[in-house]
Amino acid sequence: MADVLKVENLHVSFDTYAGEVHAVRGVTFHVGEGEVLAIVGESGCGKSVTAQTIMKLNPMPPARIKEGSIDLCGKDIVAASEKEMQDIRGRLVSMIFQDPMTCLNPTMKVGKQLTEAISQHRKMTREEAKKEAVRLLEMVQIPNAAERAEMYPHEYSGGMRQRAMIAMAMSCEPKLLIADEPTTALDVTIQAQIMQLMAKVRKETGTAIILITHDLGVVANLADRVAVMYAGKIMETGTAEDIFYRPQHPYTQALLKSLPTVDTDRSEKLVSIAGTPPDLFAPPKGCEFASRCDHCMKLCKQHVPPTYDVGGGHMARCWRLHPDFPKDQKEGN
Amino acid sequence: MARFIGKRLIYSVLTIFLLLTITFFMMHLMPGNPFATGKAINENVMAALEAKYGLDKPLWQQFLIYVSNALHGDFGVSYKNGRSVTSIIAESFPYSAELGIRAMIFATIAGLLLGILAAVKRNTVWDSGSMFIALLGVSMPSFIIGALLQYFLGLKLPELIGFRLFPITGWNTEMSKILPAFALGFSTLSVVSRLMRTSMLDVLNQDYIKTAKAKGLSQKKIIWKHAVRNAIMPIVTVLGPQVAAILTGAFVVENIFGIPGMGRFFVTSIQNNDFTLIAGTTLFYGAFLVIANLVVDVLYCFIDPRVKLAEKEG
Amino acid sequence: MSKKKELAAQLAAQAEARRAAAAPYTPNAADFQWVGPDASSREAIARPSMSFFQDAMRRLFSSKKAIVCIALILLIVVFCVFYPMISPFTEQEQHVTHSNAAMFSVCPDTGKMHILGTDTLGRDLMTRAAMGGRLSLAMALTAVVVNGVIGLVYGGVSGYVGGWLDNIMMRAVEIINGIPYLILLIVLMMVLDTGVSSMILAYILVGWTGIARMTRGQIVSLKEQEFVIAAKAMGAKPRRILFKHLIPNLLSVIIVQMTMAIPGMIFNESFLSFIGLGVPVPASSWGQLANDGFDRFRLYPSQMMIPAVLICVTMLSFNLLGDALRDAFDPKLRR
Repeated sequence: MADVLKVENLHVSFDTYAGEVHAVRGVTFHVGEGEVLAIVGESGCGKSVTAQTIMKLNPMPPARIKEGSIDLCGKDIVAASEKEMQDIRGRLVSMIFQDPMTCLNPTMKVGKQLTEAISQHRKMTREEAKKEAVRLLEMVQIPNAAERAEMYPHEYSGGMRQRAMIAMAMSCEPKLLIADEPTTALDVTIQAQIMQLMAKVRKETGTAIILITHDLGVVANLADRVAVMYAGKIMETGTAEDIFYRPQHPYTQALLKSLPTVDTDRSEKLVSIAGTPPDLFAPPKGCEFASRCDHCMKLCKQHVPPTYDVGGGHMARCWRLHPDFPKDQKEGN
Repeated sequence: MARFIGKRLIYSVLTIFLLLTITFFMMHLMPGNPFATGKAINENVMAALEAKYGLDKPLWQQFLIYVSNALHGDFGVSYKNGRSVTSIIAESFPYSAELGIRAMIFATIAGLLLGILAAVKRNTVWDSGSMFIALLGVSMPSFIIGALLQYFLGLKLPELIGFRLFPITGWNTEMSKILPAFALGFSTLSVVSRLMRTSMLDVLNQDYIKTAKAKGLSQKKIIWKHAVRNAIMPIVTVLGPQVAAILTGAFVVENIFGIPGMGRFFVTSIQNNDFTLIAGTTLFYGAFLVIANLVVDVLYCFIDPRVKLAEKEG
Repeated sequence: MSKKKELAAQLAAQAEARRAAAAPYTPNAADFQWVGPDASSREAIARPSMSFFQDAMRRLFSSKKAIVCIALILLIVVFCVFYPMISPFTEQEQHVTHSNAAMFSVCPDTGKMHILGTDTLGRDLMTRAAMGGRLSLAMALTAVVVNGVIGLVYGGVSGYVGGWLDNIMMRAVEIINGIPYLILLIVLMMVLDTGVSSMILAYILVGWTGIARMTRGQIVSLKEQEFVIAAKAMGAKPRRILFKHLIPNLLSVIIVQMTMAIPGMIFNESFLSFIGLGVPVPASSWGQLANDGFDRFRLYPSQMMIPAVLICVTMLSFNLLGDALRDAFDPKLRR
């Protein structure tokens, strides 16, 4: 299976008033054709920055790609000019965002916003583009699509707006769809609808999806593979099964423990992860998670752990996976 | 919507009433008898004034007479030259209106372009250049701008290029209308461009701009099709007050450039203590501005589709 | 194309260097000793904490623009206050034989130099400019401060008490605001006696509405913000809420607004002078000087240019300072 996207050792920094904030610090991952990769992490861990860098959407400056490479369908994104990016955006890769309330232009009819996206990359007359826009709205299950196309975004409900966003993102049948927290701002019932819709879209069009979320629960059904990000680095990556059933990194384990499920016994406690992620303005010396980690060792505070391959592409970045790690380690004072 | 307009209407009526009261008391608080200024007043004028204002009646009746006269468009008679205030306004207002409209159009268009330029080329020479021009506009009173333009472009430029491009004063040729309109509109241009820059920067940070970029639209399309339309909305709200600024600015600009507009009459009436003319023109200005503000408010409702909805729901 | 290659090579070299530096460490047995999570450092905030005003002032003084403005304002104030004391001429002193003199001309009566020349009556322009500045600046400052106080109290009461009182008070402001400021000012000037004090009174009577509205708006929005509700829920007394939470948040907005109001007042003064409602002769103010100079502008441009430059530079400096203050106080920029 050919890779749609290959990101290699990506470093992104922001030059702020107070100094350089190193938001993404050496991220490597790939997305295969038609595959769904979920990137999971707390807010501020660099997942959105990574996603926006793939499309070069974050304003540069202050953002800056320090090093690394991004290969999207054979195109070198890091070196691409703005002009080349305009051709890539929407055609090869498109994106939907967290808050559908603010993502649609409030003074433009939804249909117009769709036809604009269509005619940007596809040769169509205005009439054809209009028809196509209605077809797309129907595809994302918006009732009375022809009528709805003539309405303004504020006349849509939150879930409908997000569906319109998906329709817009899919208008040129991109190879890759990036969904940046697509359900976070929505009601729980609507969340499920949107996730179902994304699954449907993927099935019908065969597009690959990068699903960015802070909620592991959301990804369980849709994702083929999961990457867990923390403090600008990927801590663990593997198939969804690996991550959910055989988590190797203490951070992933903690995330899973903090997740309520229907099966959770009432006697089982939901565990929160104490503390906050480190400030990337001044990242810690050793492992980024060390100060919050229940299994922290002397070593962890001093040295950054390398990435260990646990098998079958399941990788984690933790000293506990070192061959010399004493398996019978006793913890607690 | 109807409720909103109704509310604005009530305010407007109250404001005009306040203005009527103030001008009425201005006439009565004048040191001594307002109509005996020590200077010889035409006998007929004096008699007409006495009858018109019922000076022998109690104060409240005088006020009622004053209000009813004003509402009928009768602002009394100028007791400097004996002409009716209404006819003076009718004769001079068209000049002021033309000057004002020219200044307003120039200021809005140039201001918007400058603001857009500054926001799009943020933190570059273009930005600081446009904002410096805008800053000059808010820091230079219009009479200084007018005097400078007159001196350098009207007086010194002909010496340099050998012929007169801009007449120094007057209001008859197209060329003679450029400098006054520029001098009058400059401060509005500054206000509009500064606000437009802020508004544009705000809009450019919105998520839907990111959406537009993610669609693959070019910078140009994003700016003109998505950003400008949304950024212009707040500008509409300052246009009302800016009409006032242009109107008062015209007092001095008309004087400097010798334009026979209403502002010039107003200033002359102040210098002559011609109280009826002052009161009449003040009322006219007040009413004009109140209506201008009303129009702007209503206009805003129509431009922004979101306001309509808020009204429907509310 | 070569540029791209160059960039790629550069990036690769950087990456290589980084990889070498971060070569995996080979741990020894002692390294695997368990220490557990660290409660003190996991909540650590890496950035130094700073009080709001400290931070704002630091930001203000790190802006070149602000420093230049403050320096210019100080320079003008020092000139206006001290020059008349050391000047060889007084404000009203006339040297009729030496009228409309050019800059740096020597006065035949006293043998002293008129640095900026003289006006039609042979009065020293530099001294008059300084005296005029004293009057213009003093009037502007007094009016702005009094306006600020009235506006703060009016808007504060209206916003803090709320309800029907707020309704009535703000309706009144709306109605007054319906009349253009300058026209109201002119009418008031007609009613009041001529003189400096009535000019200030007129400014005050019409100028407070802006700050009142702003204060009210700020208080209403602050009142609904979570941190005030939180303080209330913790049982803080209204007085404490007012002084600890509302006023500090309000102050920055008001300071900016008042700084921006000063050029407005200077503008009003010069505008009124120009249409003949300025300070009574023979006193001088910048507006009055500019008006006098305008009459002879074509023959002696410097007589108008001097007060005009002073007016513009002062207004410009205060406007820029206001901008810089607003940037410095803007919490959104605190990153």
